[in-house]
Amino acid sequence: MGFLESVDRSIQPLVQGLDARQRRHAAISANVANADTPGYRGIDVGFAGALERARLALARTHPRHRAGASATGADHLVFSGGEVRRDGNDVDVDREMVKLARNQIEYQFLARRLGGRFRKLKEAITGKAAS
Amino acid sequence: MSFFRAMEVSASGLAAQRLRLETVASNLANASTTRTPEGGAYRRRDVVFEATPAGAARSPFEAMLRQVRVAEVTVDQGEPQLRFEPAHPDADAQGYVGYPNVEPVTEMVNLLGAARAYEANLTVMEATKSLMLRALEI
Repeated sequence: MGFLESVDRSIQPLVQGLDARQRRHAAISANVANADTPGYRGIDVGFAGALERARLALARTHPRHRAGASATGADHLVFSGGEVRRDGNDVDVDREMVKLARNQIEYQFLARRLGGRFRKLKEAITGKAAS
Repeated sequence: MSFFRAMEVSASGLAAQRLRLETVASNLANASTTRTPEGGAYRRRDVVFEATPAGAARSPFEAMLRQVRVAEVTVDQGEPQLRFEPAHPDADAQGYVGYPNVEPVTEMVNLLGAARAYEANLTVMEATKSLMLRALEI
């Protein structure tokens, strides 16, 4: 397997993960903004399917198979399905705030990992330890 | 870029909650107002929130995002509270004055709800900003 291919393969899942967290953040924003809107149903981004695809893609052994192939699968959107209040709204702001914090940490983790990959690549190219 | 979209959505939440705060302020300020341009005692105002699509959608996901707006400000048509004050210039023939149907406790509950919801939107906005800045450091 070529060097660049292996780099690409290690970067793709991180990029997909960041993209999914970004969507989830937008979904949380919409839920919080509509926490008092009658009849509004909270939305969320389903991760399980996306993770599964990424794992399947990584499990391929043939060098011509590329992990990037799974990048096209969009994360599916789900209704978060909390308890529906009398005004027809099912958003629980406290729960959204917990999701927000968790999502933020996951995003930062993935962003840091991605930055690390690029630093390593730079080290390999220049032969010097990146600062 | 859904971060900018998220910011717009949070901004719509801030604006809507601020308008709700303003109606509460109007109701409390006019809790004893007996004269209005439309005649009679002041009637309490209420906002109606509505979820609307958040701008032009470039993906199925963005098509699902909703921002919030105040669809209308309703005027409560409840009966004014009658108080017997014959000396009042706005008293009717029987000596009763119609006072606004504003209930201070209801308004305070609404005020707290609006303030908390405003803060929640602000927190999300701050989070969006920090995530965008983090992405710039990659």
